[in-house]
Amino acid sequence: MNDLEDRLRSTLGDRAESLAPSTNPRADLAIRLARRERRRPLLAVAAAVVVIAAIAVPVVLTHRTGPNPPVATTPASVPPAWVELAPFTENGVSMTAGLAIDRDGRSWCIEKVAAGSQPVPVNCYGVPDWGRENVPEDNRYVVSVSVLGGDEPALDYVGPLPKLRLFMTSPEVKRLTVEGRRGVPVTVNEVARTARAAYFLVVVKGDQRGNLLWYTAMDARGKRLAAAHE
Amino acid sequence: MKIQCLNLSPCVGRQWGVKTATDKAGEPRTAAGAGFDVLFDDCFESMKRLAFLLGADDPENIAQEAFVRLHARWSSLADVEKATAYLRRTVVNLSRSRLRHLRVVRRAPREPDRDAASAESLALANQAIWDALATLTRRQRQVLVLRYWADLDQQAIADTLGVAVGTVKATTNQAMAALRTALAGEENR
Repeated sequence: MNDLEDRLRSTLGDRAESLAPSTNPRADLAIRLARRERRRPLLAVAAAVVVIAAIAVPVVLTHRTGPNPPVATTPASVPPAWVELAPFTENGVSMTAGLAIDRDGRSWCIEKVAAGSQPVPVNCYGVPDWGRENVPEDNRYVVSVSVLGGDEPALDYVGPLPKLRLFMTSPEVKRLTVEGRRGVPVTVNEVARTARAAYFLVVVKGDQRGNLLWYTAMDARGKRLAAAHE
Repeated sequence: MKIQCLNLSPCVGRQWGVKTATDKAGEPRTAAGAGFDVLFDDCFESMKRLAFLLGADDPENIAQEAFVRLHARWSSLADVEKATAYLRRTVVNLSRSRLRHLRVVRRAPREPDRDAASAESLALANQAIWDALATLTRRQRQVLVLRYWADLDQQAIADTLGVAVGTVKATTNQAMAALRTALAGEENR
């Protein structure tokens, strides 16, 4: 071992020893751990806020692209009848969620089918009014949150493009608030969150006559799963 | 089982998971149990010193944070080797983050608070070497501290820093050369 290595060891050792021992560090640790425990629920709320921001921002951005989004503007360009959104699990069974659009483009629903199976006949066609939504008229939007694998559809809203806000009222329940343009809550729904639930936010816009003009579907993280005529 | 936080450090060996007569009476216990508390008692000072030697200006805070993070992962790390390796990595990473922050805040990190350090022990330290260490890159300093203070072998250093063993060898050589150069420059002044 050379002299430099000796000096280095000696210096580092001396310097380390020069640091005085802490007074009662375990008490300090206990305080930090307790503080961290208290912060956990707050972190959950923060995470929920991030989720809704991820949902709301794409909606707003899409809206700001112009008075009419760059999409089909005539009923002739009817979107496909079945748009796969995402896989999810329900009671241990692999399922596929999709956006089902009526053939005339005037109604739609979120549907689920067993993974790999044919999505036809789709329930919202075959069963009257089962989770079926009419395309709104007068260039309004319909916002729908569907919870598959958990509860039934949780929220529907028809009106101008709203603000969406999500609050976590407990680790299991989150509250989704849709606000009108002036910040007035128009719909409040609590969504029971289950481990296997799949959340889908769908925004549909209809033209003056209620024909589908535009739609977009996102998962709970705001990831766009499908959109008409991207 | 003996606890060795750092090969060189004076961690006191105790039985893990067993309350011993030397456990500090009256001090708060964590929910993780006696094993964690024993590790804390034995390794906290060593981790604090490691952060200090790496240049952090708040070594106590860094060591505490490392143990808080270890506590959150205790169920998967309740093993001497894994836990101490995790602690070392966390201290190195937190020190690096702290130094980055300091660089942004005030360009040059201030010296740690030495109020409690005795003047005698500081006088004993080799100031020239200490100053030369401050001129090294962050990675060079990490390698030298882990090798010459913590007495880790090259593989352990590589694991701690998340680099290849070859990188550790090369960095050590570069660091020693840089140290010699810095010392030579100091002596020529």
